[in-house]
Amino acid sequence: MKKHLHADVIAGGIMIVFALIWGKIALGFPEIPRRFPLFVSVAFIFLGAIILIGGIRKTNSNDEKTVSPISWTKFKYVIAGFAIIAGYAFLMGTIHFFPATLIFVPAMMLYLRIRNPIQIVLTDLALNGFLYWMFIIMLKIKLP
Amino acid sequence: MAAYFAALLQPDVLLALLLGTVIGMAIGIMPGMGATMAISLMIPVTYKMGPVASLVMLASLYTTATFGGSFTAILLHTPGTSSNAATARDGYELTKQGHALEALGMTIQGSLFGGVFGGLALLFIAPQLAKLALHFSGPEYFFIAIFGLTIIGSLSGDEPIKGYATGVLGLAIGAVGMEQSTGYLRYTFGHLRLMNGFTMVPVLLGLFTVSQMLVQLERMNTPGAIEKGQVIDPNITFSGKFLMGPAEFLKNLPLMLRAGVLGVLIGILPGAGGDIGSWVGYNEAKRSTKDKTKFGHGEPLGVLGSETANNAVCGGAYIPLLTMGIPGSGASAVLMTGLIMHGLVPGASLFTEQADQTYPIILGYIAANILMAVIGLIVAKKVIMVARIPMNAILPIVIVLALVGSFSINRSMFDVGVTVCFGFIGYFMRKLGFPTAPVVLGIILGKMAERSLYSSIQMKKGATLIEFFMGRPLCWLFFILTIAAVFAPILMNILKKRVVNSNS
Repeated sequence: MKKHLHADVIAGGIMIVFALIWGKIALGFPEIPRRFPLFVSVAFIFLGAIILIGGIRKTNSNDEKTVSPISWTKFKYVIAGFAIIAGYAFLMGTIHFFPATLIFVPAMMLYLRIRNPIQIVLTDLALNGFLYWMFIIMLKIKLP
Repeated sequence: MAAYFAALLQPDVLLALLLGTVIGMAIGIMPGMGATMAISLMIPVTYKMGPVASLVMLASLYTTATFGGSFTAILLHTPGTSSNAATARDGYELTKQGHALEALGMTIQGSLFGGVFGGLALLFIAPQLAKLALHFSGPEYFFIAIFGLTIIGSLSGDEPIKGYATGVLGLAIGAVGMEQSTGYLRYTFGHLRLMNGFTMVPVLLGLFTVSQMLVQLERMNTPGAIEKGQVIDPNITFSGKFLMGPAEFLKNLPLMLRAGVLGVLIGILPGAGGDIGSWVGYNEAKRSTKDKTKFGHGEPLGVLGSETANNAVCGGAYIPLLTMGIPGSGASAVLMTGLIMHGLVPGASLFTEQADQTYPIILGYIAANILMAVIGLIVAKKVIMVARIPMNAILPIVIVLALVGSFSINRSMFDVGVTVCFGFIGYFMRKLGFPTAPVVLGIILGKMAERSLYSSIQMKKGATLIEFFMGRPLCWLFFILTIAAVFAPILMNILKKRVVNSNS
């Protein structure tokens, strides 16, 4: 039976690497400011080691449920969705909020397989109208 | 007290109460959303509102989201929140037998009673506990912070170690920025935006809202997933008995009182949330009924017990939050951010100098439970339509609200970037079994711990730090509570398994 590396091994490893980098940076601080970050670094290494060792045990166990919680088949949808969200955030800062939102909402709805044009247009306009009312008129917050 | 009622009856507060109630119910009805996400999403909206209106809205969200989740639990066998799992057991059976309306009536009356009971407990118990907080100074707050950090394990389900790990991540995030005693800038890498550290709300929106939407995105692309909203059985009938009559209400009053007390006590216990409360309330109903055979097959008292307790939990969770700054649940941890954002620092001052703001908030919370029941009575048969809104239509709206909310705090695109990044981090945390709620505790309590430790070092003079701490009785109290909190997750898991197994 092919063994899958349990995700906790990777999680524990990431924690230890992060903690080492964190602590290395903290060593460059003066005495008082570095105390707390060094404590955090040590705690993170300790907990990371426990999780990593637990992950190795789970990997070596005969438990057939030891499978990766993240499958590439599904993860690519998350990556694509995240890219759309990140693109929206970028657009928000460049072409301003309302144009960016007018573009993002239909794009995301189309990506999520909503094909009804009336639903897309109504949702887009209603959301932008509501946000204009809420933030510009009621809360008087200037959006990007 | 009249002045506090007058403060509650201001137009902006009443509007906030109404909005919080309606939005909370709607979000609670949608599976996968939940009170924690609702509160984090609405915090930016409340930023420009007055503190009373803001906190009334946020407090309303918490309790009404719990209530809203019972509708899908009963009609679709899908708990809207984890607090409604016990309700689904008998609620859905009643629906299948054609008694959906009776089940809804039980949940409305139980939630109303539990919510008001929890609110009254908050109103009368919290000020007394706050008097104890008058004796706190640096050393006591240090141990309170440590105690609060150890309860992180209780928020972590079956793997407390992962909860502690994310709590430490919260400590790390909180360490970014200016160190409080010397003013030294840590981990800013020259960015002025990080001089005061990460702003809480964008981090919360990323960890709780954006990450949840990424999880939903993954689920929607899983074969067999329902992406067009929940399917409602067309054969569900909304006829027959609805509410308990006076005689039946009086007969069930002892059960509701016991479930209410248990709910409040569980709410006070840090880390024990509505899910444990609902099972304990359900179990109490079963225990006190002679004929137990109907439980699991459509017993209305099962719905009554669980809903009374889970709404009482909300009120109980506010007690340690307002008096000592220790959240009783994940949702109240997020709500603490709202408190701090509006200048309301948990502790004795909330019930003394800031009493003119605190008591209207508590009264508003009680009013929210009453309004929630009224709205529930009016729309009981129709409100379930909200659950039919497909997630793929909701997701873009939630993302937009999250990002615009993140921007609105400091009017900074940097915060939007923080939200997006923490959304991605939060997604991986959820997938790998790391809870996100402890990060909030780590950020807030880490700053408190470091500040209080420095204050204690200044106060100890010639003694060693340990001698200094051990010479203060309240420090001993919190030290013992800290030790108990380390073992609390184990005890909570045993309690939960025992209660769930006894009902299966």
